[in-house]
Amino acid sequence: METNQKQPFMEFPSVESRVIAGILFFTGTLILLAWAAINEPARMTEFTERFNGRSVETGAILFENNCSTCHGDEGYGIAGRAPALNNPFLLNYNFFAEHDRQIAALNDQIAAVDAEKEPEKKAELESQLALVEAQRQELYETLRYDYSEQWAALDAQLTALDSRIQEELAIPASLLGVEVQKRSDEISALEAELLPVTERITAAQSAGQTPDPADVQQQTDLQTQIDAKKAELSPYSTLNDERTPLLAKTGRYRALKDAHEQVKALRVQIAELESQLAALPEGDAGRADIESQLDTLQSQLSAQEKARDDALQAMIDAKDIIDFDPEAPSRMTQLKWNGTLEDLIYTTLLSGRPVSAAYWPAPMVAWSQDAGGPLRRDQVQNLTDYVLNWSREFTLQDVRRINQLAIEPSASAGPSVDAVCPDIESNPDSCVVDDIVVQISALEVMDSTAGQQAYTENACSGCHFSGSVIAPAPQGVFTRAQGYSQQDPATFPDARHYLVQSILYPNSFSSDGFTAGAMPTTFGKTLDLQTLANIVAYLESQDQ
Amino acid sequence: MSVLPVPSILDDIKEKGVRKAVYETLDRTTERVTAGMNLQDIREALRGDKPSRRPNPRLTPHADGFWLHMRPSYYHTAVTGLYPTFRLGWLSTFFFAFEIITGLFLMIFYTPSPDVAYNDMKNILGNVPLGQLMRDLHRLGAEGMVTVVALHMLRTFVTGSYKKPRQFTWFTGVVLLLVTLFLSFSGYLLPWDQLAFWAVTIGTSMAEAAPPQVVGTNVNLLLRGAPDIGAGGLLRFYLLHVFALPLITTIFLGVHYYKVVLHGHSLPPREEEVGKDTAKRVPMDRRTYYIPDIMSNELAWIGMCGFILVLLCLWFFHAPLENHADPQVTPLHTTAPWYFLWLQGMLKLGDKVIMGVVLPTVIFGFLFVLPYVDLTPSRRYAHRRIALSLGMLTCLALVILTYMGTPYYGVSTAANDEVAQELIPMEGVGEIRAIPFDELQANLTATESSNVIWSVEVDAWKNSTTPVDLDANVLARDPNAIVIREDNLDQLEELYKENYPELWKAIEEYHHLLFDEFSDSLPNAVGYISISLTQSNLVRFYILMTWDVPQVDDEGEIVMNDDDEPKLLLNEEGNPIRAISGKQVYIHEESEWHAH
Repeated sequence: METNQKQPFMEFPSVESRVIAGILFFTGTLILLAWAAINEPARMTEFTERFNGRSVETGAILFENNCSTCHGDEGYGIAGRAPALNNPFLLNYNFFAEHDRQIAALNDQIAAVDAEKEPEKKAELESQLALVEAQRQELYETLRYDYSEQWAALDAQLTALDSRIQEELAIPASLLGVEVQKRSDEISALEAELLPVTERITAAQSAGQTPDPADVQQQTDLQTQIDAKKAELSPYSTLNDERTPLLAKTGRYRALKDAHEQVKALRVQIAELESQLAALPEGDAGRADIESQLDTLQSQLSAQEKARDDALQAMIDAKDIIDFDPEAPSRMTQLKWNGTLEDLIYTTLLSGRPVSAAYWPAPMVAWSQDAGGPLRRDQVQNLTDYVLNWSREFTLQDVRRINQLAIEPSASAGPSVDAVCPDIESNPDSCVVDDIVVQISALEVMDSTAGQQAYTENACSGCHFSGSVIAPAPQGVFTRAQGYSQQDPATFPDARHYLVQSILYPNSFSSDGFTAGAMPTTFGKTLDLQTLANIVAYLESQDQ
Repeated sequence: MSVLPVPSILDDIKEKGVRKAVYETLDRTTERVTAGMNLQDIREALRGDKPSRRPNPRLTPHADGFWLHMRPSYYHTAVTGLYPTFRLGWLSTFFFAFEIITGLFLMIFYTPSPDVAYNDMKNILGNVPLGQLMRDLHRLGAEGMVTVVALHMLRTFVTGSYKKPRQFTWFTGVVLLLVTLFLSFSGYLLPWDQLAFWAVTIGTSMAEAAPPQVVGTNVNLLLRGAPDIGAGGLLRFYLLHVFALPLITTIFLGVHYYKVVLHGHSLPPREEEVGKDTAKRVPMDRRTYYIPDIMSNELAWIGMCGFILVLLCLWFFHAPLENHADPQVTPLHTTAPWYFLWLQGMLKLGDKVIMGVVLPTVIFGFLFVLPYVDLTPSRRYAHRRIALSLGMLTCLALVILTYMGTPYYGVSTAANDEVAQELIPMEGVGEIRAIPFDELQANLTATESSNVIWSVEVDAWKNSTTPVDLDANVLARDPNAIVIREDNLDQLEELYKENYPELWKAIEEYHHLLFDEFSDSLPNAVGYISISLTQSNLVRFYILMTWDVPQVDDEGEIVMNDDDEPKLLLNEEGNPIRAISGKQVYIHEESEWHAH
């Protein structure tokens, strides 16, 4: 037998080498693992950031494809269609967080200082407080009233238009209206002239006679003149149509800008006078003079502040701007949301906001596949991450780009019922049901269709539905109310009294078989008179 | 009288002193644990001395212990070297154990449900200490196991070790190879990302092709749990991966091991006479005992392999994780796992049933019966020229087929999509995601007020009935857009190369794709890049291209004119038709594609 007695190749030739290699490798592995373990926290943080970044990237594409048609490409909302998501109220940005923190801290310090022993320190702190409060006020007013940039842009637009008018029509823009009027008047005059001629021709025709050729000639001439005049008018009126609204809009912006600047200027004057006054010793002869000046300025200031608010309201009414109140509560507060902001956005995407159909042209649909939408949960998460990625320190430029804010579902059109009876809390008898019944009965319309919608929106239907065991059903409520009124005509002179009382003061009387105290007592605060009237009208239609 | 009411070590200590009592207890315990070897025996073995007592205590662990019962007490010295086994069989077992350990770790943090599986991956990678390392190790171990098992079979074939009496050992080995492939494949689906979803969709679609149709449909239903992969399919693959397949592996591994011990390791062919099997008849001077030689070597190897794997996974290898699985979107150039690419290559050659079902069945069937068909007695290389040549040809065919399975072969995608895919792949990094955020931020072309939603614009241009002057239109919307023409590469180089190397690389690649690689399919092309900031830390990167549509013959080849330039497709007025296409990607400051 041919055998090869050569020793085979061994990578670790002896037991010693194996033991040494084994120990070295095991130790090496342990060192590597320890090294990895030490670096884990940093690596995990980095990974999570990276993963979230990529989630935002995916969310951005989903947003562009699914959401931007209603919420706008940059999330600033589209007026009348859907609210902004790129919005400080949704993203819980508080413009005054730092100021409020400082104010609270200063107040604490002031409270801690003993005024008897350290009057100077207290005065120092108080002046600091006044300073911070003034800064806060200034920031508030800037956010609320400063549209000067927009005004400047509009003004530039107007100037450009005016120079175009000058160029094209060779008249100053200020005369445009006059020119248009002049030509319109001429056309009207010609038309007035044409009218009897046309009448004569028509009369002749209806009598079967041939119209007077002179008349026909005159009609043609006049018509030609009118057409020529109209053609001449056309560029004037086109530019005028363009200019008039722009002029009005610029005017509104200017009114606000001027009023705001006036307010600021008056504040400076008042501050100056106040410091002068403070410098004068008690009983100085000059004080009375300054004080009277101050009074004048103060009254001017409040007049200007009112003018400023009016100007702002005019702009809001004209839909130039949105009603942006930097101190408005955050969306989470508005909705009484208990979870995190992420939860709010995620669940809104998950199941939509069916109720929003009541106040938007199209409701926010449910986007998740769980609720019949197109997106998977991970995609909903991507979108949530994308929306949350708008969180930042909002600037004036940012908020001016918002086109639409969220509508508060409970926001009422008019003053609430309680506002009609302002003292209702301290003195419930001050505003009896009778008064309200009289007031709603005096309204022009009581719309039962709108009432039915309000019935749903205000969640009445959540408990009061057909067959409900927790609250009386709406069906037949009017009939029942009439019954109560017959039983107790002193309290309920008619069915309407019963209905109004039951809505506003539900605990004063409870229907048989139902638990008292279950119904919210806040409808007096949330309903306005018209809505209450509509709901009552709806209930009155439920007479079986 | 014992110290305590019951007998205890204290009695021993009282009698013999602390040192001796403790040593003796330790010695006894060691002997029990090792099923026969005490401290002195172990010391001798490690020193390389001969055993000092009879019967040989190094044999008792094999006779009395469970674990070593499965191992021979001695080997023929000729099979203990690196050749002829290359330790591949041992490595296969090592990887199997390694996969079980790392797999158990991952199992703790994983739920087999489409709703949460991907999130669990995020959790393992971002919230579980050493989670990423464990996943990488598991994944690398799986690739390693497939490789090692396949090589083990190749080695067995080359040395002719499948021949009598080891036919059934080979048979169980083929079973183990198949199970290994499916173990790896079933694990593919579990992360529930796009890679997982589509690789497994492709894989299981082969089962669907099995004839007759009623079988295919039902096998598919059985595997996927529904016509398409979903919650049911994921659960099935999970159970296969963590339960059924490991169980089968364990059973067949037991049989395989038993047969190896029964017949002995086959000697190198030159060591024995033709037709004889002398593996079990080992002369005294050719015996290498398991204890201490083989055992110490295996322990050293465990240390070495573990070290290398950890080292690789810390710095060089990371298991990929793509986007969440999306049944609606098939990523371009989806492939099967690498070890099934040869199958994908075969599928491109012909009918799905023949290439995807019949032929693989025949191939594996042949592997199963090989030792029963090949009855030639000799294991010597010189006597097996035909078998070895066939084996080499098969390997070559596998390599070629694997290449053909990749997207580089036989996949026709529109050139513009191919360009977009190169720059912004649907999955993975590509040239553009690799640009660091600060380079992008420094090169925004669109200002805040001129942010353009290109996708909307491009749709409008595409649908326009009148020809669109893209140059004017693009520059009207983004006057700073980077325009890439055949002749302006030098200017662009001057602008970007020095300060923005990664952006420059992307531009260069874009230029290369448009004007070199796809110049025939995209004649007279112009490329545009528009970069805008959409959120304070998010950039929108849009690539836009326009070209003249070339004429294409029936075979999909571009028709060339005499000057070797593509002939253009003309419209009714005789003008070239200009096509437009674009693709965008958002890049977040922290997503750091360039780093990973």
